[in-house]
Amino acid sequence: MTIRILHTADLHLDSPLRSLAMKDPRLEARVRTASRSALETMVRYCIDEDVQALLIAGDLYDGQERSAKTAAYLATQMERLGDAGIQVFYIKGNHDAENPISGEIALPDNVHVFDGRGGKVQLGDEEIFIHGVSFRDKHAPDSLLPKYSSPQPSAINIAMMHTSLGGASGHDRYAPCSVAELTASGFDYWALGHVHKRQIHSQSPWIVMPGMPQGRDIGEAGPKSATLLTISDGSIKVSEVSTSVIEFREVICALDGLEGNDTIRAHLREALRAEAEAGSAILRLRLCGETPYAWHMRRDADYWAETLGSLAQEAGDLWIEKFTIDLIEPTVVSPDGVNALRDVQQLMADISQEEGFAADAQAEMEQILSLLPTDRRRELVPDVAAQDALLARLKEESILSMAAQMRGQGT
Amino acid sequence: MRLRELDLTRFGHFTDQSIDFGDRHAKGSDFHIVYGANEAGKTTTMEGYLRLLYGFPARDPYGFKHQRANLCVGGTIEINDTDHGLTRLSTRNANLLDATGDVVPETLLQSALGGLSMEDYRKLLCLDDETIEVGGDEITKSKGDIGRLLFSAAAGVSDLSEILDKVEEMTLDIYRKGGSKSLFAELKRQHDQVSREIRDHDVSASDYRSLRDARNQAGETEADLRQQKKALSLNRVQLEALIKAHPLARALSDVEAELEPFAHYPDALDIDPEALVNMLSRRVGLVAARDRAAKELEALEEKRQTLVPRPDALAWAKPLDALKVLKSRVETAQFDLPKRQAQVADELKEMTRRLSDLGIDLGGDPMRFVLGEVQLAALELHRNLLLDAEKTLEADSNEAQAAAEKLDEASKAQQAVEAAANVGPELSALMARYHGDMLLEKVTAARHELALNKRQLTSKLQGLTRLDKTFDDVPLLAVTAAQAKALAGQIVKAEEKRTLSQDQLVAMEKKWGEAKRVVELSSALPELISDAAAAETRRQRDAFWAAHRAALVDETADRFEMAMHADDDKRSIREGQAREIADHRQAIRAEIEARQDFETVSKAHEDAKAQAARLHEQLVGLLQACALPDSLMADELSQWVQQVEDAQQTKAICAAIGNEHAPLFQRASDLQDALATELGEPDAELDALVAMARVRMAQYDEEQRNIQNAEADFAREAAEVERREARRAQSAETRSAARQAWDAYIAQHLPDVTAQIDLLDALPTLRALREINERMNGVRRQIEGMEHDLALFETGICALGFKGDGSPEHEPLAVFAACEAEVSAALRIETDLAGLISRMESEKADLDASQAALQAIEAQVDDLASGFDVKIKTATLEDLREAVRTATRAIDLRATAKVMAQELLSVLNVTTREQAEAELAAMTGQQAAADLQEIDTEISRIEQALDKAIEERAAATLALNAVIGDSDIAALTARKRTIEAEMEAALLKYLEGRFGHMLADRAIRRYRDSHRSGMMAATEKAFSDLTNGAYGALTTQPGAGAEMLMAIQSSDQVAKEASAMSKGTRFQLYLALRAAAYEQMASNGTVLPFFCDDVFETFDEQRTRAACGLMHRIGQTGQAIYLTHHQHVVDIAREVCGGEVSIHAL
Repeated sequence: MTIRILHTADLHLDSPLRSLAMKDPRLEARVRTASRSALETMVRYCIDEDVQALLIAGDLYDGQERSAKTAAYLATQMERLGDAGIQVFYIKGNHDAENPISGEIALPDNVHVFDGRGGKVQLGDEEIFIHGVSFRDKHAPDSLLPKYSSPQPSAINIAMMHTSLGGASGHDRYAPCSVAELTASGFDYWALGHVHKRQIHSQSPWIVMPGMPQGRDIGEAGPKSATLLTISDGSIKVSEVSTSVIEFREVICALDGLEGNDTIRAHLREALRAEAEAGSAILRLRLCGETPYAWHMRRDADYWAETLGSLAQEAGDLWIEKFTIDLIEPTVVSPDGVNALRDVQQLMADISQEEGFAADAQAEMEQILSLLPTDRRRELVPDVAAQDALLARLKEESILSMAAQMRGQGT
Repeated sequence: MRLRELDLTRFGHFTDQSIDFGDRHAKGSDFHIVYGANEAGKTTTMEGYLRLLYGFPARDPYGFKHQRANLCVGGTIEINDTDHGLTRLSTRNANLLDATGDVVPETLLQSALGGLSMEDYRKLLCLDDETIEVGGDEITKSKGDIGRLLFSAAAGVSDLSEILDKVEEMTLDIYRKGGSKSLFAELKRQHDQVSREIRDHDVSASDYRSLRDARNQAGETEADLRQQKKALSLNRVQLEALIKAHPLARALSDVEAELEPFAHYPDALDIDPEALVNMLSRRVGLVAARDRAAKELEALEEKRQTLVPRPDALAWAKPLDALKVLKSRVETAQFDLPKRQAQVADELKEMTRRLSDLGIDLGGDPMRFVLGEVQLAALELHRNLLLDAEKTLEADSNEAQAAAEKLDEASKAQQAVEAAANVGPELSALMARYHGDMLLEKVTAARHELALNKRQLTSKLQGLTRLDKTFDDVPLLAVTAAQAKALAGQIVKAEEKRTLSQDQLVAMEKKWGEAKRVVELSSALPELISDAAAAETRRQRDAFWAAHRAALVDETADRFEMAMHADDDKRSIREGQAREIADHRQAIRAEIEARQDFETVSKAHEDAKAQAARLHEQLVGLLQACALPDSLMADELSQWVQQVEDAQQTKAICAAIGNEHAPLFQRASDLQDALATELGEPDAELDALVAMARVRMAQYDEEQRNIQNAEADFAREAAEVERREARRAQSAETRSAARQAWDAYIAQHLPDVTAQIDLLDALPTLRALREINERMNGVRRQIEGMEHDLALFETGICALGFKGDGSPEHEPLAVFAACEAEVSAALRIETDLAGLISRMESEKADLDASQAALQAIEAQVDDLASGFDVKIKTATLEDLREAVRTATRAIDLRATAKVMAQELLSVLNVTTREQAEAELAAMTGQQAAADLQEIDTEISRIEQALDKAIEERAAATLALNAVIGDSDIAALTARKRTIEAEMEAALLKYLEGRFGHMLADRAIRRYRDSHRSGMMAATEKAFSDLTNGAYGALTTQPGAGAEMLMAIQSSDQVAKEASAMSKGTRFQLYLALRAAAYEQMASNGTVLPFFCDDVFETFDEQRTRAACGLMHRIGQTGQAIYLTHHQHVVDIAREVCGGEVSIHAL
């Protein structure tokens, strides 16, 4: 007998996509509720493919999105699964613990929510036991491993845990524990959650971080999926089920030696067509390489933003959320009249490093950023280091942009 | 960049003008002066150069000679040591072409220009009186930033502040503090709006919990109130039943009491009281009908006895009906018959009258003249054919007559034209032979040419007049123009030499005199022993020595001694006078030299005088040889000789023209003679003769055309006469045939009409006869019909056998009327009798029916009465009705009592009468009403509370149910996040712009400051050079919101601003600023041609010299081009620059 179990985590239900590309009404209409679409994809898969259980390893909700409508929506999806006889096992992650809505709406009977004390549940009459421990609070500084009951002998034991393991880039430490400790615990499959990027830490036993089912910004780039466990004759096989409606993708486009609007436009068109073949995506495009046309591109950045938008639309289901110009110019003899500008540019660079200017710029930046909504500001500059980095980047960009404007003057 | 060649192909007043600036000197200066008089086009040259670089404006003031569309400049421009042959057209686009005509991108020039706009080029490097002042003023008074324009030039861009302004504008579009129209403000508004929508429509966890609690609470409250209300309502129903039951019980008792007297009446009744009423009313009606019918029968019988029938009169009815139609026709005929007969007679009279009008004898029956319709039509056809033929014949005869007349006229006209011709063809032959017109044209041109040259000769001969000497012909020359000119030159030189030598002689004489005076003065010293005196003393001593040596005696010795002493004394004295002696000697030497000089000069002067005199004599000799007054000067002679040579040349041309055209003139003369003879005008000129010949020839041509026309007219008219005659003969034949046909027809159908009577006009009469005959026949047919009707009517009347009363009026119509009256009376009697019998039968039937119905009603009453108790009266129909009414009342009361009893039990909710009465006895109605009022109050209160509770519960349920899993909030949240991303992007772009602006602003200031000192120093030096040190330094002073450039005067160290300087000095300052800018631009790699259009005009000579030096220096760096119409500037430039300036004449 073959048993199928779908493992997911970090749905962050109703947490929206965070991209400037969403300005495009076409895109907005398509991915307005991408996290719901991802959940529905999984629910549909479970029903269509005769999946027996869905494991949700934490962060079903997002910490910020606290609408009761989200919970109501979740309840309807769980009912769909219940109607199809599919059980759902759910441990609360740090975001769930933080989100008060998670306890307000009663979920249907087919959903088993593990509490903070932990526990195990048998999957129907199968010799399969699901273990799990929920977060009690939004912080879990200590390992949750001791809370897990021992694996059931002579059965498949699947343990669900929301953890950052030993710590991951971009994530705080939550319920820390090591792969070695998990390996030694005697479970057959560790259904982890918390880290948004898919990773298989071990195949014996399986220690799987499935990643989130739908990326929300360029920091969560790449195709997203859920993990399917196929249990047959006491062994587990693991595969991926694609879930994301649209993916974020970072693209680097080299323009070495290219000159002239037409040539560059043609090159970019080809590059975007190739990207379109890889599936619909929201792109962050970085133009790099060495070209004498670099300053033209900088000067005409607005024009190129428009052009890239059109080319992306023409190529297929692509949207450009941002493009950066990291082009450099070849070091050749400057044409007449450029010497003075070069001097001015150097002076700008020098001034930008002076304390007086740095103080003025920082004051102005703080004042301007205070206009942003608090959460957004906190995301942009979470700490002093980030603020300094932003200031440095803005200064550098402003010099390059201004120099390009000056060079382009009169042409 | 360098301008090698400028082509003003079509520009201003220039056409294909070119200035070649040639190669750049390998060493030295690339300084050019374009020299030309006023209006030569110097400014046009500079503007043309700017057009080559920047193109033509939409309205070009230099399109006055060539149309705007045709304007074109070109040239060769060196860019990075490569020559570019360029042409600028005045088309809108792609107007810069290379040597092969291909379009050259503007970037070629733009990059070489370093981004300098045309206006800035003009202000900086194309200086004329206006631009030097305007641009200079802008520089010296630039608002708060003295170096802005200079920096711009140095930086190779026109204006960086424009970039800064654009960036600032961009940032302000994104965010403006306190502004409501910026991008950020708009995003903020959207963000607030979305946040508000989320807040208004979202349900949080705590809200959801509250909703659920509220719904539960409301549900419980509602249930409690419902329970209370239910109990009260039950109590209320019981009280209401009691209140209702009390009156019901009383009413029931009353009904039962009322029923008691009718106990013996039946419980049920099958008689309908309405049926009894109907029976009563039917009986009354039947009795009345019976009585009326009996009375009517009697009256009808009496009336029948009075009527007697008439069968005899009734027998006439049928024959009279048959005669009725005939009778009406007879009545009409009796009136019409005489009138118709008279009408026939009148018609016959009319026929006779019409025939007699035609003159036809009435010897026979007029009816024989009545023809049928076919015959009349044939007669009319023949008549019309005859009349038409006659008309045609007449018309053709007239036409033939007219044609004959026209032929006669044409013949006369031909004769007249031929007689009028008086010009022969000889002139044409003559003119053709000589090609008269062409010859006249050529001769006229040749004569004009000859006359022109002769006029020139005359004019030139007049020009030879000198004083009162005039010349009628070109004189012979004893000298050539070159010789005369050489002589004049020699005389001028000789005179110059003589004057010079004379001046020198005077000077030398003066000098010699002064030398002599010096000698005199030096020799005039009293104790001075002159060399001569010393030499004399020495000579005497030597002589005495020689004498003593020879003699060796005391005397000689004494003389020798004395001489020796004297010599010694003088030597001694002279030793003390060494300086004076030296001076004296010098004076003598100088005097000697001066004298020698004087003599030399004097000799030279004499030679010069002699030479001048000789040359003058030669001049006089030549003048005399030329028969000119002696007083003329040599150059006048030279000029005169030249004029004579010119006149000789003109004379020779005249002769050549005469010779060249001699055959032409001969032919012209021959033609003139021939024409004069032919035209009889011996004195007329050729042109007049040719004109007359042309007129005569035209006249001949006209006459010939007239003769030809007349001949043609005659031939055409002759042909017409012939044609007309033929037609007339044809018409005559046709008429004859028509006449014969007519006569034959008359003879056939009207044989007794004599030939004297012309029937051509009788056709209408014959038609009228036919119509009269038709009418008459109709009347005769009517008369016959009437007479037939009268006979038939009389026969019918007689057959009736009517006797009448024997009166004489027994004619048929009267008899008919009498019989008709008898029949009518008999018929009326028959009709009345039949009606009476019918009515009597009907009345009898009515009487019988009424009596039967009355008997049936009586039987029915008896039957109904049998159902009642015997004590009740039912004998009559009225009694029966009363018994039935009473029984019905009793039955109704019994039913009412039963219903009321049941209702009472029902109201009290009991089953027996006893229980009901017990209930009623327990509480009175008043007590129940009081209790009910209290309960109603309580129920009302509870109902209000319940309504509110229901409302609250429904609302709470609705609110709770509204929390569904729709995605509205998720979508709004997504929108909010997107707006936040946009806000962030906008602010970052704002910051980038702001930082760029701040940095660029500061960097540009620094750059300018660092370059300013260099610029100031270069300007200072150039200005000092130009003013020859009059202004040694420059400084700036803050003015009212602006920084002013001031120059410090070297003499008193006073700082002067440009406006306080003279125009020349101010221009020098402005020129110095441009020179410094040029230097700065060159150091940054931008080298462009520098034009000045006569801006040195107001400079004095020294400063012009300095300015030429400055242009020379600019030329060493790049290319300097100065446009002027002042020769002295050219000379000064040559003096200052030597061979390093190129002069180009316009």
